Amino acid sequence: MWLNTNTYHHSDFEDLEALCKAKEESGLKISLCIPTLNEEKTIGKEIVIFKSALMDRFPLIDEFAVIDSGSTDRTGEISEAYGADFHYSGDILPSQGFKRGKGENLWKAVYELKGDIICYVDADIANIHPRFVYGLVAPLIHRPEVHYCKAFYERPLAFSQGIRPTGGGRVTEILVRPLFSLFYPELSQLFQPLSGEYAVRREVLEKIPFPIGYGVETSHILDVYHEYGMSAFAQTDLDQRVHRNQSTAALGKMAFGILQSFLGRLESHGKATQHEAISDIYRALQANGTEYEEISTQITEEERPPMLEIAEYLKKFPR
Amino acid sequence: MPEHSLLDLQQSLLSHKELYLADAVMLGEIPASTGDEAKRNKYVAQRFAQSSLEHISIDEEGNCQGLIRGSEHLNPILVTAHADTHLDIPTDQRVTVNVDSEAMTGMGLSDNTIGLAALAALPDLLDKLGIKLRHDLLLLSHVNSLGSKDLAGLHFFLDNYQGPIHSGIVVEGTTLGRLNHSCFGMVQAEITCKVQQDPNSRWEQSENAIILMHRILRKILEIPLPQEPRTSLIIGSIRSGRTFNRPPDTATLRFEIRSEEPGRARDVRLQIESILEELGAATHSECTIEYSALRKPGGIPFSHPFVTAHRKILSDLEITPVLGPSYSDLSALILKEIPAITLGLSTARHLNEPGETVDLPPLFTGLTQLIALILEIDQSNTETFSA
Repeated sequence: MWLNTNTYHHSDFEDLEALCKAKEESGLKISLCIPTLNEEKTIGKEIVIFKSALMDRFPLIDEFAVIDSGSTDRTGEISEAYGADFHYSGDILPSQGFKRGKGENLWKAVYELKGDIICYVDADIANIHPRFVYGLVAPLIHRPEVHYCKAFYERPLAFSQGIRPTGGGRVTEILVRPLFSLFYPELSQLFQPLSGEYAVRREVLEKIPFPIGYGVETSHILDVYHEYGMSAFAQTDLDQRVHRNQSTAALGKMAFGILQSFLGRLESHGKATQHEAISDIYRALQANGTEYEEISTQITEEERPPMLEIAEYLKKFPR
Repeated sequence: MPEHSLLDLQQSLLSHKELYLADAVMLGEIPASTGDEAKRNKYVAQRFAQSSLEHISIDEEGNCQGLIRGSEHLNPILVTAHADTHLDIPTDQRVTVNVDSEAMTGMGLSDNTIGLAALAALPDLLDKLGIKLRHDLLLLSHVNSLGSKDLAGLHFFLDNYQGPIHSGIVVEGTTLGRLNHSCFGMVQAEITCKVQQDPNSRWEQSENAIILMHRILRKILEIPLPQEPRTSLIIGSIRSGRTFNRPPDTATLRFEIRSEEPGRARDVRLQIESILEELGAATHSECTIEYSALRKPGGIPFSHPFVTAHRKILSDLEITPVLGPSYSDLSALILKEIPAITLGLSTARHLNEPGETVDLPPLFTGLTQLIALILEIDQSNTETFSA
């Protein structure tokens, strides 16, 4: 069963000397990308830990870049102080313009970085550790048929002895998992399809479109599954991840964006037909005493095309 | 060491700063109250193993040690740092450390995460700087150092280490410029008074442990203490009672005596014992004393080449030395007649609070100082270093 054969624990790969040897033998180059927007609190720590453990001590990563959506805090200054390549997303592929969103940074990274494998790690992780990278790239180094490795985490909630409550966050459990169960049952074997940490082969990344907002992780999984099937995936347990907790209102917007991307994929994969245009206005309600109002937010899941459709990319990475 | 090479050393260290900072972050996020340092020392042992040290071990007490073999196998220079912190946080809880371009923040960094990180990163830093020593370098992360444990880990190591130790450096997080080459004699003790209360008497007529402790305290404060050699008595804690209107039957008092004069701290504690005996008998109360630390004064003289070398390094780095006796880990080395000093690495603010901050520019000056001092000791004439 996929769940047993393609699910790892980071400790399976903690012998970094052996992993670096396997990487060298494979001839693969690995790039690490940290997408940022105002992450001055945690970015310095991520850089020093990844650089020291995975570049200076063990040469697992060949390249390391911070790709930023226009931070107004000291994210850039701190990144450069610790020797990371810091790029403003708008400066990459200027002919394509700039759109604000995490997906935009991930897409631009495919052009900017040179590695055969790109590992993405969010910048807001308080308990950062080298396992957040080696745990994800290792299955791709060891198994050529695996193209996409996703992180999952232990969630520190109260639980009875014996069974760990390993599962997704709130949006995963009440939106994405039910949708996967309905339309893509095999994908419900992914513990945390929305986690922001994953490693992917370039040959896959360059073929798929990138929603620039909330839907990027979901649509990636659906596109990779549609093209390669379940055997292209692996997932690694990285134990705990400590990060900012989002409000329920923010999660509502996130769920709305994900749902837009999901419905789009259902249609393009021929699994459903949309009879009329769906709204891109997210409507929430607010009560102030006895005054009630509707708060409307426009959330449009714009997409960047597959990199293979960009002329500059084909010039930089000729076929 | 010529001044220009000290600056070169500092520049080279800065170019590898993430090696040190990564260890400081990783260690800083492992809570380690006294007696609970196992996770930290597991990390230190892994780092020593990654750096190919020899004789890496964790002893029965929980100390972690490793050896870098010198080119001439001369007696080892011991570099030691305590692994425990003053924070009483269980190991399954989290401490968060953050790094920006000028500072690190996180509880417990200054005492003594940054000192321990220096120990963990030292093998890699020496390697990156191309430094090969003549002497063996013995690195020790010692446990059970704080409070009533009274340096139990370091004493255990020194009692059981087979073979001579050339010299010792105790690494503390703060404060850069610190140069301790001698130790106060020191006594730490807790007095407990327990009065007898008649269960049939009214509360306002009951014996009161606070009043008895007050009498004891007054008598203790009447003990004459010489200005020279410096001797002091510090009252650190007094506890008794729970509410407004009930006389407590028990009171405790914690104090510390320090003296530069051999035997003086002992004299003072014997006088305190007499006071307890006298007042205990007079009031039919139980007055007892327990000692959590008893340390002898000693050290190496100001003119010792070790101290001279350290002062010169600080001067070349434009750091004003803060000289004086210490009452910490150094005493265990002095007890074994090992020439040793304690140094500090950086400056810090808001100690043991959530916003505890360690400044990075002085920290790398502090690390430069440590490596320069190891080099000076290594290159000196061994004979001149005997205690």
